[in-house]
Amino acid sequence: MKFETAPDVAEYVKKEIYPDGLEYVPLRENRVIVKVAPGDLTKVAELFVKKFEARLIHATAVDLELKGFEVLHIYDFSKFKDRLVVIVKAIVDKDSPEFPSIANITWQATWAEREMKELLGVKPSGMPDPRHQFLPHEWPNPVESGSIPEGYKFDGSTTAKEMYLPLRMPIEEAYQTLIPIGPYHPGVIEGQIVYVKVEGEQVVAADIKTGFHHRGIMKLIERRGYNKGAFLAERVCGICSAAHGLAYITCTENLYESEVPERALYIRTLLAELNRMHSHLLWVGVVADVIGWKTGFMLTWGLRERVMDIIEAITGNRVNYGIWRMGGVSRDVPQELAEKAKRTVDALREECAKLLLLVADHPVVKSRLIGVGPLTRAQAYDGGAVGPVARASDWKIDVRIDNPPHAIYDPKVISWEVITDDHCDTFGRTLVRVKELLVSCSIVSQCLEYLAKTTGDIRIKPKTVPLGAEAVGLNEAPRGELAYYIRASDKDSSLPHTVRIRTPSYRNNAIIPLMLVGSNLADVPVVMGSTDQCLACTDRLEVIDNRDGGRKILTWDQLVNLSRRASRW
Amino acid sequence: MGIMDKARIYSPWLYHLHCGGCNGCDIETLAALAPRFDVERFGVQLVPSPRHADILLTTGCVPKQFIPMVKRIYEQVPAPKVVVAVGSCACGGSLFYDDAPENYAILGHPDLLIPVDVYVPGCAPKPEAIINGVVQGILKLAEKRSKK
Repeated sequence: MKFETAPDVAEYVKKEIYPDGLEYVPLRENRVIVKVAPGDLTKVAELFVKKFEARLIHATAVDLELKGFEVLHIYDFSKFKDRLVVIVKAIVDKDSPEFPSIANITWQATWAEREMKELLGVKPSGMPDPRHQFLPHEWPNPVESGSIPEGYKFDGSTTAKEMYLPLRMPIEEAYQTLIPIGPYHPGVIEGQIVYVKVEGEQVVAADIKTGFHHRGIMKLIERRGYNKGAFLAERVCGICSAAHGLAYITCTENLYESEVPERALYIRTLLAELNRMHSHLLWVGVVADVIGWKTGFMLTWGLRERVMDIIEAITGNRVNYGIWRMGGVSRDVPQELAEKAKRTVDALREECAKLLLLVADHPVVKSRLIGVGPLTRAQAYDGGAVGPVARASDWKIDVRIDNPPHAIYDPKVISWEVITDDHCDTFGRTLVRVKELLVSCSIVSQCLEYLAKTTGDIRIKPKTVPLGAEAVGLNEAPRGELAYYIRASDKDSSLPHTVRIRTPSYRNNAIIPLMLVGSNLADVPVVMGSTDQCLACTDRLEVIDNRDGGRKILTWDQLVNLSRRASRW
Repeated sequence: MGIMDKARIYSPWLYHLHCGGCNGCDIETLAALAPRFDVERFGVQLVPSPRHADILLTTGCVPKQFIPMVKRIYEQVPAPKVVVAVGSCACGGSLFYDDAPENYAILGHPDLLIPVDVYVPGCAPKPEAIINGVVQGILKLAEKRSKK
């Protein structure tokens, strides 16, 4: 199957969507670049978000060395003609890299702007939340633009106490209690800190700080090239590794005139859906564990092992599959195996149907999840929720329909549907995930049926990536929309110049504080778990809290004294 | 070796320390505790606090931000203790580790910070391998206890 672009897309954008742009460049697959002046970024954002109801996928910046920084805003016009993706670009000067922040127009840009500020040293002016997002606490300078200053050495001498001091709390608020949850908490495996301010049992304010898992993967892909990048992309997250592999491959294939054999597309869909199945089963298990329903944990993890068996039989691995290649996949599914796997999946489907009945009507599940972590449709839309969290708030958003990746998701070929739910709470999120499990079962079954009947090529040798090409690759990971942006190098056809990853948890984590406010302290782990947060994804970059700007940092002793004084009253 | 020590060897408690991996090893570790592999038949239980643990199970290459926490959690585990490093990252930094230029975010394997007793290689190791690693850890624990 060949992936092409509609030729008139750039014209359409020029005429209908934004006539004032400086230059229009069509990319492959209905992606269009619009170049604007840096001052116009807010105007464009306002027009796109308010008038066209476009959704900001990601905001980032590229270091063009002598030319300056290129600020990128990637918008999703999926409800439009040809399901457009518009990339708005503006070049800012290296010496004074300032441009207006769009976080006040679309709140979804908040985390993204904090990220580019600390990693590249650009200065979005008028940011509502100028704190650091990803780098370690005492990191002095942006990482990518400059080298580490002379004499600077990270020795880890700062103790945990000093680094993660609770937010400063005035004495007038002493009737409230500030509870830091994390970085290690039994409810969530991975490291993050959630500060919750409680009055009695009720959460009145919450703040989240992530970034402990930053491994610099984007930089590593830029250094190691396209082919090795597929393996690195898989290891962004071990749970949704197939989703990352597929999104990365979609993005790299968008860089050149790609062609993928049909059988490879089916194998890709098959693995992505098996991956979704095991991820959703895992999530139901984890939430069951958190709410004290141990039977649910054992039940779902038992089912999950059967999915893992199929994955292992197909790819040889349980976690990182290593089959993603540009122009196809590296491993075929033999016909006998496909038949055998289909029987297993059909049996599994019945078990999953039983699981749905069990979850939907279980007294423990209902009492612990209904009404917990509410998120209305409007909140989900403004906050930029993606994936099952958005769909549980009755917002029909699914990349597999809107901007499909390079796999088979055409509803004309494979019958499937997008699941939504109107509970708008954690219970709704559970139902959406369990129902999606059934949908995935059906997709997997159809793919296996095709693979059992046919034979064919699974890989076509990829063409050389043109210098300076750009592409956006989207995929629906189990947690939501996953976006890759790659810009090819101007000099070397095997190396990307820039790689940017926007993971679903990046968005969903940003709205956790919103969901926490008003809930009970005991429900905090459930709400945190309800977005299926995957911090390994989110923190592929790093975070800090520098708290400069005139605010004083208290030492531990000062804080103890303060609290003693407060409690003496 | 007293009766207390003997009893402890038959039910070593495990604390799972996730220091910045990709989650792959962590789900495999949890899978080892789930019904099919069921590491609890060795008396092993996952505990929520490092202060209750005998075996520290680490996964992942250590990002620099985790350094103080990893040290602190290691110190919180009461002696004698055994550290089991699960996965390629925990054995040698895996593909996140880079020599020149150095990866700015990663310290490398946890052995640079804390003494590791058992290595379980694999990306990600299968639950069987993790169980084997834990059993090796139990043997080491017995050794350490008898020396005490």
